[in-house]
Amino acid sequence: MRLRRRHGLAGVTLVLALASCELEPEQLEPFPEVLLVVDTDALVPQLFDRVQVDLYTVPSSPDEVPVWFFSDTTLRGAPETWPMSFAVVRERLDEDQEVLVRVRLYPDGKVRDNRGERFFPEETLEQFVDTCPTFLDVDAVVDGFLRESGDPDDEGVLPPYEPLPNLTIDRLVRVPMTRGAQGRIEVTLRGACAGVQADLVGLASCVDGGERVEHATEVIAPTATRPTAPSTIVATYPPPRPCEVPASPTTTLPFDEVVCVDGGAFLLGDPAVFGFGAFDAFPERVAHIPPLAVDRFEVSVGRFRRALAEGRLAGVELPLPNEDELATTSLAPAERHCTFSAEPRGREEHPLNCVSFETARAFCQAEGGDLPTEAQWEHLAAAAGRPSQNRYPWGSTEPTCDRAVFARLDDVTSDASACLDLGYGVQPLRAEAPPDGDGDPVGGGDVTPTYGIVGMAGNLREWTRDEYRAYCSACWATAPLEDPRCEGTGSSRRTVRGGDWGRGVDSLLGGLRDEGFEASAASPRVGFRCVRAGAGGEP
Amino acid sequence: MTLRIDLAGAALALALFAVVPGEVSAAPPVAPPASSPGAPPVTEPAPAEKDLEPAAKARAAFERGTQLVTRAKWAEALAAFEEAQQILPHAITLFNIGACERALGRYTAARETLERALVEHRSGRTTLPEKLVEDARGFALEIEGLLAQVEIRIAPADAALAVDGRAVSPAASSTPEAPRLVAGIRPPGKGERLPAARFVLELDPGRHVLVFSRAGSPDAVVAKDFPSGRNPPLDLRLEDLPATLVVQAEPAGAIVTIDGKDFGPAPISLLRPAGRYDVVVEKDGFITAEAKLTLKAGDLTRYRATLPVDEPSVLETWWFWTVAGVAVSGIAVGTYFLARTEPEPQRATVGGGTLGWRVPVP
Repeated sequence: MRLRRRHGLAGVTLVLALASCELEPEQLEPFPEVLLVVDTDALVPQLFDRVQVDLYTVPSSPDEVPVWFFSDTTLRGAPETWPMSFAVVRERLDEDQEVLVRVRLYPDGKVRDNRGERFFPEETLEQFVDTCPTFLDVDAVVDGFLRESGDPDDEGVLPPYEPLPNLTIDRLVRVPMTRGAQGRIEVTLRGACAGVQADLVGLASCVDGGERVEHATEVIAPTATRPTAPSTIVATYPPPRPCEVPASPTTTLPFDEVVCVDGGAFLLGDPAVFGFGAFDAFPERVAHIPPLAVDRFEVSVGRFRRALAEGRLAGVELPLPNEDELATTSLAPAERHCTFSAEPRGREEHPLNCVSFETARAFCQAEGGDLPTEAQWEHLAAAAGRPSQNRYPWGSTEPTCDRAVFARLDDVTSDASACLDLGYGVQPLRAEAPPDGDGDPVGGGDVTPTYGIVGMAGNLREWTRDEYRAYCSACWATAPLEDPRCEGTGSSRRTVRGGDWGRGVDSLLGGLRDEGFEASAASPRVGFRCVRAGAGGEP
Repeated sequence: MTLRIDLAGAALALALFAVVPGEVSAAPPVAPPASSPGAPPVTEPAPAEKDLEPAAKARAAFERGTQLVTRAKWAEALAAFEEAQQILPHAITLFNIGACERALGRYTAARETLERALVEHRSGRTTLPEKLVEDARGFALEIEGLLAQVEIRIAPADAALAVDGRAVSPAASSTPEAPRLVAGIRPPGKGERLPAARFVLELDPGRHVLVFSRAGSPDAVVAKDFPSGRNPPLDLRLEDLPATLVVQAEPAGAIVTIDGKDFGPAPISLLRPAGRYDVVVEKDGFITAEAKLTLKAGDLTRYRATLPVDEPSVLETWWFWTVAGVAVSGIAVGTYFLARTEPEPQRATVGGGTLGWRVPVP
């Protein structure tokens, strides 16, 4: 029916149009109007896929703050949808006005309530060594910005959510809406700016990486818009960094294999992990990891003994020896749980435990590498070689007793003994075939997809290189995107990652952060593996 | 090198053995049956006939409890004393309940029970021997040193907390400025809303499961060992769940538009952040349905649009519009030539970009 009505109306319009075609319409002075063309070099959609745009008017007096008037978000997960563009128009020709445009690119779903909190300035962050700063709770009356009030009927207070600052590329642009200004502004959201929160009060944002830079007022091209070409830079930062060392050196020892793992970028941390240790695995952050040549297995007793025999460990403190059989109950003395012995005792293919951080690191350095950093370890355990990040080293399937070595304690009052039927204590290394691609078959082993790294979840926890600090502390908050780590804070504790034979199922999460261990301490539950540079430079 | 022995099971077993034999071989902290409250003193008036039986029952339960204590059967003894207290409340029975709870490692409960025993004693209704008053004070002091304390910050603050499946209660030392909560006293039940976003929780040392819940957020579960003394603070943030919106339409195939964006034909189901949304359901030949929906975090909102048929009138028939079109055209052409006016003036525009947004500045 509507169609017929349209026929009639179309006829009327056509006649009117024909009748009026003789006269050219008068061209009025255009309103100030700007097309913002936004491009990015960040990893879309692997890390980032949603854009939030907020618009503010900038008052003429410097004493006042910008006033919010528009927000919207759009999913831009397809690289071919970049660059994206939208227009701002001022439908008046009276006095000049300036508009502040805030564009934020972040991973979809990574939002928090818009409570107006801001990060501590970096100079005051320095005092947070052991503790976490809370956000600066800025008084809305003082800064004048709108925020979530908690009252759903309060229509004027928008938007209720904002992207998590740690995971956001946050850019401010000042746009003059002056008479005669009609054209386009091109803005590039740089991947190198991830995690640098813009300062709405100081009108400063990160432009090309690292520093928070006040952005000069953009000059608008006087010409009319030209067609927008497809993005040539999207998903180019950080560039792909393939691993270039030979995958596995020839060796006569079993369980002495190296896997060459490409570099990559991922989200360090897991918001689902908290309450397991003193500190939790959030706030999450973006981390870029270089290519690494990684031990496929935890370092075995046999490998350590060989390095010892070849004289490469002169002056290094030995792991605690156990000249007896391995303990079969927790009532046995702790050293009976150690795998190392002065002479071989049939445990050469067990992973080495009861080893201090110093000894573990000395071994890795003697092998031409080092211990992995926490971020490197988590990249291997949760992200490397996968289309998307996983909760467990093997994928997302919930753990079962036959998949990984965990819950093998004989304390029947806790969940750390749920798998005791399969044998008490630390278990010998076991070759495991990696699942195909992102395959995550039930009945598979404790092995990562694609690269086939074994035993990251269970058997022994593993020493990492970092000093033990909360992700919210100064050390992590100021760590760079590229290969971030936490060292030199004066802590004697080093982090250990992963689960072990004596802990429950919770400990197998890839993002789990454990309490740190004293670097000189040794535990029957902690071993290690080494990494080496995968392409020029340090690991 | 120091060997770090972190075999939790072995440590736990040793701790238990260190406590239990000591308690048994030393003078039992439980008052002997001679001072049992169930034994009616001769100086008191004889209770009424109907009260005799409960008094005897209470006495029997009390004596059974005392017997069980001598065999270190603390849990059974506790049940017996609680039975006695139920029938015939007495300060000494309360003291014994507290002593059993202390022996069982239920320190927060023991502290509260012993405090109640002292209150009862001071009230004068039933009294404690001086020795037990001193003991009760001593135990309470000792327990202060054994409890685990943890400072918890939670956002948003309107969360409920249950520890090991029980609500928590305010501590005696709690103030509005520095709220302190105690776990392990309340009977099993649902968590209750917390009084503040930042508080100190006192717990028995050992493993506990803390469940923070809030409408619209997934539960935050903290399962953790809390040793005696001050524990590292917990900083929790409950994230909002998205809301689910299901839009159905009668007739099927109507097009759904939410906040101006086309979501295709109904039925549709989608996840959105909580908030207000304008939903439009339209189909040719039917009257369009519109609604403003408020989606709450974690909830499922169902919108069922029944579109009435747009009844065809004379205005909907083809011949009417054809005739009308011709007539209007004729009039228009005539009018135009009679009174030709200037065309509407125009302004140049840059359009709405790839997003189609053309945002006016207020």
